[in-house]
Amino acid sequence: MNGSGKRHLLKLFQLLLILVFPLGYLHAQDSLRLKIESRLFEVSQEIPGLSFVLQVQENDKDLSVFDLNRSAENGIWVSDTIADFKSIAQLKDTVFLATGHEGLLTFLIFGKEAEAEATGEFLENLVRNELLLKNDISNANGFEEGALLVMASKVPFTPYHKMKTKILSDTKMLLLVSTLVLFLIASVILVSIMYVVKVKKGKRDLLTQKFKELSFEPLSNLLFEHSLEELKNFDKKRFESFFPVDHLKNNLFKDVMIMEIISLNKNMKGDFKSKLKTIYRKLELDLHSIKKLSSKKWDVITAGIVEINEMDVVEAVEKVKKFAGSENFNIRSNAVATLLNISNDPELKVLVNQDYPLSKWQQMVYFRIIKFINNSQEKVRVDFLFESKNESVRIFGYKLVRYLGLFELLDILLIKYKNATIVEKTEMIKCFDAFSYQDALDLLHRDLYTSDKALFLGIVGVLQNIGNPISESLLQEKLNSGLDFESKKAVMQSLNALNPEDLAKWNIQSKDAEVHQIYDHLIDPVLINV
Amino acid sequence: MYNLLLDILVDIFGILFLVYSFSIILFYLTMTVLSALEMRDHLKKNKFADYRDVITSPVTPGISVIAPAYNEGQNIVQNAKSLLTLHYGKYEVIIVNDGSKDDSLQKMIESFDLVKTKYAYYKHVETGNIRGVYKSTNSSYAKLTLVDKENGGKADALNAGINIAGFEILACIDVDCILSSDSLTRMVRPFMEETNRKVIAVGGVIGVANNCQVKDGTVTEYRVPETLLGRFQVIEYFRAFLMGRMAWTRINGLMLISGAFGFFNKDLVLKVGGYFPKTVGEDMELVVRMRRYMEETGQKYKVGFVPDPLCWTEVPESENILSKQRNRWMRGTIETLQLHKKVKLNPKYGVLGLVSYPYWSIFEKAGPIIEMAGFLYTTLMIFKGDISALYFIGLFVLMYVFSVMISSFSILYEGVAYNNYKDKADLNKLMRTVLLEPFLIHPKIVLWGLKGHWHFIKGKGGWGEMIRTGFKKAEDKKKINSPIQLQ
Repeated sequence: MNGSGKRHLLKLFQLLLILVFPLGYLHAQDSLRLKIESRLFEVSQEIPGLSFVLQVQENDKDLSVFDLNRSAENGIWVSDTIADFKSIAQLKDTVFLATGHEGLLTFLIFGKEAEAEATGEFLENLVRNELLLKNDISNANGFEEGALLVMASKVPFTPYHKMKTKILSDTKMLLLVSTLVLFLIASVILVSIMYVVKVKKGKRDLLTQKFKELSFEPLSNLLFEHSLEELKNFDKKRFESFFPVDHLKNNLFKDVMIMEIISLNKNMKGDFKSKLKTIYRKLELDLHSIKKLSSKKWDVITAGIVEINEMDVVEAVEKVKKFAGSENFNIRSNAVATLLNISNDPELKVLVNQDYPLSKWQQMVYFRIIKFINNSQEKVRVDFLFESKNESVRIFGYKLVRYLGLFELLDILLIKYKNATIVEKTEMIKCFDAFSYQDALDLLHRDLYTSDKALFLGIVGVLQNIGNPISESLLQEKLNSGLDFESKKAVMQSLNALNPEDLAKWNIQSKDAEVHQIYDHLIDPVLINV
Repeated sequence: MYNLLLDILVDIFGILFLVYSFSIILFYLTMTVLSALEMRDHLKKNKFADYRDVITSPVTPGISVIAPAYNEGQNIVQNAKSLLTLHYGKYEVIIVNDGSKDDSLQKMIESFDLVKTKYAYYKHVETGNIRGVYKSTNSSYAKLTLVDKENGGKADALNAGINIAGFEILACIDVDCILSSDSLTRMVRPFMEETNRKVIAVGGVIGVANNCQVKDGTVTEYRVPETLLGRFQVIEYFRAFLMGRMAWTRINGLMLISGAFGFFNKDLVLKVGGYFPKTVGEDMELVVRMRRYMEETGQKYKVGFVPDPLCWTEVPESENILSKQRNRWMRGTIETLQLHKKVKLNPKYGVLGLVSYPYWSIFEKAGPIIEMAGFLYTTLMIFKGDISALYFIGLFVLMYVFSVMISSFSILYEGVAYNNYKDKADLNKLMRTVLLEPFLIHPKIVLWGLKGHWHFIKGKGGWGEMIRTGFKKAEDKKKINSPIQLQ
């Protein structure tokens, strides 16, 4: 406890001495007055709100020397209002010695005259307001056991009073405890939330499992015991008769059903796919999927889009279109994938008009879909992608040329090559390489002097495949121009493919240790494909 | 006068400990919220990801898996075989034999029909002497490359692998780790998804394999370890990986990717000069250096994290080994923070400079020192009589309950996200560990951390001496304290 606290405590202790003891003597005014006076005498400091006035009945002597004033009204000598009891008591003694008259002390509470009893009550209030500690009472001089009993009857019992007082008076501890309690409550809330989430998830998982089991048998029956024609002729009620009626309105059950149907759809072929789609529609699960598009949660919207895609809900295309430019990566990716899949868009407009750059993940997904459409439905117009304002879309288009074997588009690429960016060129030359496109040689020779390393390495790689004697001499020229290790290795690899004898001779003549090292690598039979 | 000064000092220390405790609690609470949000998003995203495409698609990037091995003769062949069967199209496995004294090299040569080749490669990063690069004559093992080099430590071995690597993503792993067959397909996703920022590195969760059932290179049944130390590490891994790193990922402040399972953009690794072999915290140091490079060159970037259980390792269950590990981790942390002091509270480095670095400095590096000082302070106060029993017990109980709450949260968190530990008996054991950890294990962790500080000061332990002398070298200082140079 700091100094100020100690001072306060001392004050309180003194107050206790002053205040508590007189409480045992409230029976008679005189004895009470006497007791209050005697206890107040022991206090050297002031008690807030309490002051005193001395009155002396003296007609003969002039008491103004004691700073007393004579009242014009009744001739009584009156002192100033004094807050310090010791001073007033001293004055009283001095006047008594000088005049033989014992003055009368008047108590003033907040400036107003009060009876001894009222003064007693005032002090008692201080005790009740816990300005004094009970235990300190016992330290008071002259305290009698009876006083405690009397005080106990007057002061209400407060459990853990000392502890409370200590905590409340120690601000540091108060701050500490309250903050820690706050933290503790926060952590309890977090744990509770997590627990609730876990329990809910557990229940949901159990229910999902139960619904899976409930839907498995009816789905199997519908798939294996009925023909597609039969299924098409069933009405909704007939379908519903296969499933537990109570659950068909349950959203989770619908979700589980959709999940099961999609899962089966991915693993089955032919008629079964059509049967599954018929079941999905007859049970009006397509409406459930479309409804998800109105959700505010991105994952629900995405789930709806995925379901629409998997089950070919063509009528939802217009609704899905508005998500093709969504800020949310997952919504946008799945919306574009869905539109590519079900919107009959062989010109790939949805991709051409994409504002956002395509990530590799998106390209992977879109490639799968485009490949499927290209192989099973109608030929997609990949060349439309070359006209997109979005560079990543154009690059994706060049990749598709390679991945889908669209060699008929190489002539367009050749035209585009001249004005293409470095990144585009790097992708285009991979196409030239993939189809051994000789017509590109002149352009490649020209770009062999590029300062872009990736483009240079790409061109050298293509020349390894389609190069001619001019390429060979250009590559040799480059090799003599002081290349870094990686470029040197690529050039030597190309030269080794174009004219191994010349490279062998050149290797013998060269004094460059790196050249020998690379050459040894190139002719090592184990590393032939590395 | 002196008493007054002492009183003031006692008060100041008291307030400092108070502020420190509050800050750490606040950090933990914030982390729980951030990690929960990140995990929620991750699990939702996972629902829509079809990883089957990744294996065969021509769009996916190639991955070079680099696994340094030192005296791993007992398991190296099995581990290499496991790596060769990962489900991914475009990848290679580079095992770096870091001067093993056992029969690792011979076993590998015999098992995979390896022969020494004249492999030409450029030393982008300086390494110890390479004795040979081996390739298999059997086309079934075409993906495998074995680099045999003189012993130079883990970072040096990784650098040797980086020099050989031919693909754009580096997967740096511990050879004794168990990788899930779909680990590459899942870890590559963040690299493939991002469009606006460059993904420079992706970290993964390391699970505790002790006592678990492993089949075909994957953990099939989760069991908690038998020992208290083992179980403590299960909870610690939950807290560190599932909660801590997920939270840092949320604010793109991740500063540490475990050396046992980390994926990096190769171009950038080469640009910053590969691993720094003079520190024992090479994994953390590399991430910080890569981040610094991106910040200094003004490029947008991201350090990703995949919380799916894809990699498992056996954790030490003996006090002796665990203490050495913690000692090393502490030295690694101190060294990294020392090397990159420039980042500290520097607004130029964004979250790295203003949040991540100060957090690691105050709570991870200085944590054991402050905890010990707090303990001594409290003891002193008790003896002086300046602290009441009420004050002490109250604080102690509250802190204990808070620590239990956070650990319980991490167990529940794992349950919600993956629910790998399904056995109730196992969960009960974990809960008992949570209750005992603050008394039986945490004090030891603090002591081992302090030992790490002491060893750093004395220059003791693996690489400790080298880094201290290394600091004095002008080249090293230039490399670290000046903006990172393009190589």
